[in-house]
Amino acid sequence: MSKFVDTIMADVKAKNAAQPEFHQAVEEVVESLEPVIEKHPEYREAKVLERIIEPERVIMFRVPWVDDKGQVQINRGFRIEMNSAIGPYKGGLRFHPSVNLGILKFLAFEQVFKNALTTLPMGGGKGGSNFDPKGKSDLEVMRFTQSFMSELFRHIGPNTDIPAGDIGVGGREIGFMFGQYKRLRNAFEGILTGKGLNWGGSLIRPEATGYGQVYFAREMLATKGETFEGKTCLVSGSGNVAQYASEKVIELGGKVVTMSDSSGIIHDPDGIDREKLDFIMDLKNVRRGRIKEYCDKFKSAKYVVVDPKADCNPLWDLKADVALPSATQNEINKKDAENLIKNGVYCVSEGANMPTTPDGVKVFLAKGILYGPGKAANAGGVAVSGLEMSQNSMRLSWTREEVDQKLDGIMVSIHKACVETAETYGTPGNYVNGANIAGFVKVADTMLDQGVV
Amino acid sequence: MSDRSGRVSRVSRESKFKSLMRHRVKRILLVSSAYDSFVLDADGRLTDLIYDEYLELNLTSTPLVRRASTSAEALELLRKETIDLITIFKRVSDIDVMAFSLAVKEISPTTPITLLAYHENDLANISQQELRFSIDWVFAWTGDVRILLSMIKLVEDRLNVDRDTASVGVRVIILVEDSVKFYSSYLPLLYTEIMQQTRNLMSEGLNLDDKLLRMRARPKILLATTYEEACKMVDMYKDHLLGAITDARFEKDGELDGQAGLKLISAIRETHPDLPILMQSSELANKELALKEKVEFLYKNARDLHSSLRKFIKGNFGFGDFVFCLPDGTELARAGGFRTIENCLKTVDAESIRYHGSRNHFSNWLMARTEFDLAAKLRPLKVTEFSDAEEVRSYLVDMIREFRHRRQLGVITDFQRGPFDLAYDFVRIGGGSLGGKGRGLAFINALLSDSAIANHFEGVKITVPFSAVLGTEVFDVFMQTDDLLEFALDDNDDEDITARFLATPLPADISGDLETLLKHADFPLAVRSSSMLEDSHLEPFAGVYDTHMLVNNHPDLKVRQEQVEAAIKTVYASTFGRSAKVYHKQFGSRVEEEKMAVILQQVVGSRHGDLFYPTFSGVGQSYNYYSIHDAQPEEGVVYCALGLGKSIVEGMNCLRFSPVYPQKLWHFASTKEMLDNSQHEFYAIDFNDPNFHPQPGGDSGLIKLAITEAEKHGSLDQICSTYSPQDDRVHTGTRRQGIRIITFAPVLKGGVFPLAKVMKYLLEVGSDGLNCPIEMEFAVDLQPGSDTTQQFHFLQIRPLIQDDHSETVSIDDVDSDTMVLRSDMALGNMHLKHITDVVYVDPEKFDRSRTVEIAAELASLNAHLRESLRQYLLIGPGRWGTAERWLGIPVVWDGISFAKVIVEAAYGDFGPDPSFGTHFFQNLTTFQVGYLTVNEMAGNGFLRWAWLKGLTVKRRTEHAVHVVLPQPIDIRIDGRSGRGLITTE
Repeated sequence: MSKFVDTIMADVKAKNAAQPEFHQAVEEVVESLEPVIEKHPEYREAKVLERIIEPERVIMFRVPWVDDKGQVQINRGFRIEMNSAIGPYKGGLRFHPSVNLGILKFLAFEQVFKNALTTLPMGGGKGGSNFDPKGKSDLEVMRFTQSFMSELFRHIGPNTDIPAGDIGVGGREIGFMFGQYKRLRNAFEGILTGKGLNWGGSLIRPEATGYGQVYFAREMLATKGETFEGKTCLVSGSGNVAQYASEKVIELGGKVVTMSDSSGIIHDPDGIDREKLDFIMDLKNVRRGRIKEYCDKFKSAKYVVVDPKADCNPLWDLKADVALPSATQNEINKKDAENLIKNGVYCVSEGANMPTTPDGVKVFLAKGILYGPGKAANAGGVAVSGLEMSQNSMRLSWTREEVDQKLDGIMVSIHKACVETAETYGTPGNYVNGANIAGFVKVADTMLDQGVV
Repeated sequence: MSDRSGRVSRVSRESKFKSLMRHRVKRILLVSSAYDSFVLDADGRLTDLIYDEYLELNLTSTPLVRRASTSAEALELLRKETIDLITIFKRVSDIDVMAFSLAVKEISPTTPITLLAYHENDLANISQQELRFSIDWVFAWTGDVRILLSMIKLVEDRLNVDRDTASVGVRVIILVEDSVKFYSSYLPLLYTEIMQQTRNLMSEGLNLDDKLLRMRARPKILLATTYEEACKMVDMYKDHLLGAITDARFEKDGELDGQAGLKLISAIRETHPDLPILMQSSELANKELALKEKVEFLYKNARDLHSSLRKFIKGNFGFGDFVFCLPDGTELARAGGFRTIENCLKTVDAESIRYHGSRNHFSNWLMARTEFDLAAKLRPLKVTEFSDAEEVRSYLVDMIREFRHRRQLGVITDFQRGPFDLAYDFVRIGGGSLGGKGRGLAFINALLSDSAIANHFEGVKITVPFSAVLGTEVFDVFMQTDDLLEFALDDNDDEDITARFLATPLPADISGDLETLLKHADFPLAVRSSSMLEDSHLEPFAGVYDTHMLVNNHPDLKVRQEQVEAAIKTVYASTFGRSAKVYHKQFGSRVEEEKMAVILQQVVGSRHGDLFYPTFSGVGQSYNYYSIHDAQPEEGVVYCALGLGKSIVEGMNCLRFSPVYPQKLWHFASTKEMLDNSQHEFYAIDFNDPNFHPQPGGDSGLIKLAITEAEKHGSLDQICSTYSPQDDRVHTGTRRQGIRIITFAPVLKGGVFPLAKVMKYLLEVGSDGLNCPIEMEFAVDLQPGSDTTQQFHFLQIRPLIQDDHSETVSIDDVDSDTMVLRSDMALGNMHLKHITDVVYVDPEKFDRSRTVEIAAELASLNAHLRESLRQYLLIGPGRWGTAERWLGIPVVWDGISFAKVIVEAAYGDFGPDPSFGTHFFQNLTTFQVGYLTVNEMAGNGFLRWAWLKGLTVKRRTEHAVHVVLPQPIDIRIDGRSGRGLITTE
């Protein structure tokens, strides 16, 4: 098998020289899919892997614009239409000086599987520009995005390619691009997600990741016949994901006892109830203060300063049932993972991107606890993007409850796909394997179905 | 006048007054016999007498008196020197007046000649025709030396009248009198009275310089001796006549005419029906005739001639109170000054306003006060042009109010007890220097006196809030009390010095002045230091001395006064604080050389419940040392924040923008950056705390609040945007639901207030004025209503020190193997080869919750290095000098004063964007301290920690290390490219 991987990689490197990011992504995926390829010789025969690593289409274009000083500026625009087997291309647009072809191909490649895992009919793509929004006026951003869309509009469409936002592309940029598309096409179509609520956007976007993370955890608990009711939960972070995860936990009857920010953690053994959570939301979203202030307000809580030099995070060293890491990358190391298990935590659902180090993941997998990797557990954001597309196609705007309900359904499906796939490939209960394989299998099978295209 | 950049040059009222009285009598040639000289000397030394008289009248440029005892001697002198007036003082029999006069005219045809006869009888032998031909004026010696002054003034008035009436509309009084004896005694009386009255009217608060200038604008007196001459004068100066004083009997048509006075009055009345006229005569019978003509009468032989004349002048030439009366003469009210006339105008019967308005009484009154601009505005207006008397009233009140304010612009008024008017923007209490900030304020004040600058932007008034400066002499007197200076100079603790100062009373007269001031000034006050050295070009003591904000709302005036005095004394005490002493040590200057002025400045803002604050405050710098990306340093930079400016000075989050490109906000590139980098808290004055408790740093009376508090007051409406999490978008204004972010978008992108344009303009005008880059502080309290004229309050200005970029430092030819640090974001311009000491915050021990302790440790290491006079390289995490201890090490300047180069490094993921309190920043640039930012993760340079760790440790504290190098390191910063590096040899 490794010879197969070597062959594939040699080919990738030859065809995509000077794109190290892409090489790395392909290598990781191909390695993780070894058992799948082994089990399904038809994939090899149809050269599914070889086809899947080759973008269906790469669009690269000039983006000229005039800055506020009247100087002409030229940026480079990209759209990688990676794979449309299961649906129109879907993936973010990134405006950042670091953007180049290799990075976008790497991101587009990962996006194919992320989207497939949601169980929604979305292909994969990515795009963007090396434009740096830093220090640009609103008008400059508008002129740039209009110029960008003046080329991109030829390649996208509600049934072709539906970009979304990413780094450097928020509501403002989406708005400007949507306006320009509409003007050029003379058509009001759902060609972008992340739109404003007034013109085709979806509700529940800020809540999606946190809610989804908890729905995924709920499903994992359900496999053991348990619910959130009465469960003590450790939540890290205090941003959007942490806030809405906590909200959903409280709603489901669980007890959140921790939250944190970059300077320290609060531990409230009495639990953070709705009222206390409202205080935190006001503190972090409106007043933008430090989480420490929580302890000034609620005397039942204790504040612990996080020592960045310490070999573990005290937040993960508390008695609990469920851990919802929702702060940042690498926030759970091996020691933290061990502490969690020592303290009785048996369910970990990741809301942040890769919050657990590989060593930590190994600990969870070795102990066989319910571990939902971010790839699956934090797919709520992507899912709501898919739901925005659905609403646009149906010309409907769902209520919060409707979107939330559908998000819940998607998370249930993702969970189910992970569980079933893990079982199918001989690693029952291993959500990491399940998540890695499920998305690929769905795309690969579809590609087989659709012939050599 | 506009210069090339479109800025309007300042043509102040002062310069107008300066242009008056261009012709001055500077040299008098007194032609007299030795005997007459003796006579004069017997009466007193002539020169001294003239000098004393000039001094008494506050006249400037005392004339020089040259003497000649013979005509030959006089002519010889005339050939050698410029003479402005020749006075022949002698018995005329001693000299041939005609011959001498002809000789003089040949040498100097325009030099006026006056003849001062010892007795009137001495003139009897000279024909009138001869006199008129050869002598300009004839006077009789009355034994009063002031006659010489009258002669000088009469000459000067005649020479200047045409120009001065035309340029500013100086008024003219015509005196018609043919009796040499009478006008010789009368003119000194008249001049003295006019000058005295003019001077008295200026006592409302102008300073001495201003008063002296305005003396030039006193009414001119023209002397006519015949009917024809008088008529000619009336005709020539018909638009500028203030009044006429006429004899009854004088020459008309070549004949002495007993009715000449009455005929002249009739002639004047035809064109000037309301002109005040006084008839004077030695014939009492004329009184009835005069009264019939409705002119006042003065009996020449009356004992009370002087007081009657004074009464007439005060009552008719506008020098006295403005007496509001009805057409039938019923007196309604009296107004002595501008404030009282404004008040009277608001309430007095409309009929009275109509009566005075239709007779130019208001403009005459203003003219007498040398307020020509305002008088000229009023004079041409006819009461009939207004719909009713109420409209006239309203117009007059507005005009005078505006005038009162404008009059003070640009003038530093000496404080006077008694009636005090807050319309004065800038007053000085006590003598001496105004100090650094005071000088800056005086400069702004002068700048804004030019309405073209103050009103440069439509709908915006640029102004200075009320400010009073206690001059440095007050400090000097205070320091002489109870050996205070010696105690302060000794190495006593700051607390002990403050306590001793607080226990020492201010000079009694100053306390009295403060009491008067505080009776009126019952608004929040900032008490700021303004030392002689502070904010000067080379020595930035900015931020070292105290500033206090006083709510100043205690119901008891005595308590308020005690608080203000305590604040002043704590500012004085800070002159001798530890920080200040360190500064002096670094400069090599002496603390005892420092002198402290103190500014009491009205705090700009509005009351919102128990809080008081302006909509926003800010700091502008005309040179941006932190220009990044494509921003140019010369564009300058503006920092602004909701509430009081303390948040900016402390380095809290605020908005930073280029006044040239205000729509490009470097720190607001994404919604996350907006949420993270925007202002979260603001400072306000707390009205709930009327007590003043002196605290180092001057925090007393202030309260720090979340910006959401301000939303309750509506203060965010015009300066913030709203983040909508559902849309992931920031919308301008507060119309939508969401999270408020202070972006100033309605100001910078909308048309709420032209802040960027105002700042760009003022930074240019200010740096042109100071001839160097400047830093200025400002505050704006936006008022509701789109038609409201908004006020931009200029609070301070000071020079901003710019590095010397003259030397080019190259960093391109450096061997990369020896490089231990590289920064792509460096400030300064230097190449140092003498640094062998490095102090750094140990990255392995760094704890962001212990930054206060770390600051103290660094201060102790700095103290050691200062003792041994070793400059060093300082390396640490995050923002240096920030008041927000979570963002960096909150060092004060003296805690790192011997660091020559400072490195701001990212410690792991701890790498906030660089930001300084403005004072910290000025110190950096002034002391030419290099500043390097290194953030390897963000792609900005590198720092080889391994090299640092391998060095010999000299001293270690819990979190910091002092290492010593065997050889000096090589530090280069290229100011032009903003790059820097450090290599080992």
